[in-house]
Amino acid sequence: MTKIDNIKNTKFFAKADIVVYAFVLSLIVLLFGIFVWGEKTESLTAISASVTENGKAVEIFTYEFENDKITVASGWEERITVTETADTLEIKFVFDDEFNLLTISKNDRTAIMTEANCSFHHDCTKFPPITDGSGIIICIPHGLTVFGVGVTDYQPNVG
Amino acid sequence: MWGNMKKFNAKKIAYLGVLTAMALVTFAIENLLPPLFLPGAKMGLSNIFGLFTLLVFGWWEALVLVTIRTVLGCLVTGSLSTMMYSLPAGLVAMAVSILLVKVLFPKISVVSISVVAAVIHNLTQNAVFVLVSGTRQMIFYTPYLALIGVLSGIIVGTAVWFILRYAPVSLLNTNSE
Repeated sequence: MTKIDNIKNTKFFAKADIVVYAFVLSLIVLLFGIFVWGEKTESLTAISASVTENGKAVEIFTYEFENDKITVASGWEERITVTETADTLEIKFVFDDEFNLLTISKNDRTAIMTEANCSFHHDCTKFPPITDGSGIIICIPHGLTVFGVGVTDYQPNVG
Repeated sequence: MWGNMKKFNAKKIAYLGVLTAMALVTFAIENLLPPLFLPGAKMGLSNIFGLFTLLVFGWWEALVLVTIRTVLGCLVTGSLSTMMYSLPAGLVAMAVSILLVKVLFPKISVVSISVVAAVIHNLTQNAVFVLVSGTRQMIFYTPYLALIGVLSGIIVGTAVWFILRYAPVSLLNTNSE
């Protein structure tokens, strides 16, 4: 049988595939076990945002739910504007002509990227809302990372 | 490697050029589509041409196609930052495919090779992203990306199986002048 016959007559499903699929299934179950089911979720105490400057992550914004306190890093006051209503905070991060708009719900203790003009698909607006200490939203073009801070990680260091 | 290089002829070079161009166009078109369930997640339809090349031509040609498609694709779509995640993921996934084809094919099907490669691709891409960006929270997306890999692997593998099955023999015979 030539190589071409071999590949032309290959079956859609071969018996040995069962072993391969069982391996893939086991791997996925293991990954869910480690990263989803086995992960202890921490309630959200704060929302922080950082940018990458000279290869290092620099925290530029923090909102603490407990104290209802907003902290903006020095040098960023012009580029971060906060609009506050009874229950929500709208934080606009400005990067030259572009921006990201983050909405924080105080009562629900969630944060979501509602608007951005960073890339074609605005991938950062497709991230699920941050609801616990392991939540994260990343805007790659702007180098902006918004993350939830859990109880154990809580130590404000913006300023 | 050089043994394979010697087998290059005009038809083969033209054939590989067309396959690379098709992979590149698919990559660019897919980039215009919205992400699949998670930010940045894609179906990876351009991998159809990588797997096809591996089976019809060989491992060297497939590695070259994946490298050119990823580098040029990132340049064309303007997503240069994604190259540092896409290229290692593409090469690792292709290395796994090569190993499976050399050792287990045709005892296992094209679809199962594609599924394993797609899962490995997504896991590698996320691992590189976590390491480069330093955002450990992204590791929690790993199992979901593996699931998306299964879906995209089935689609890519099925497409390659259909092409191999129904394409005329003359199209697959790449060694004739």
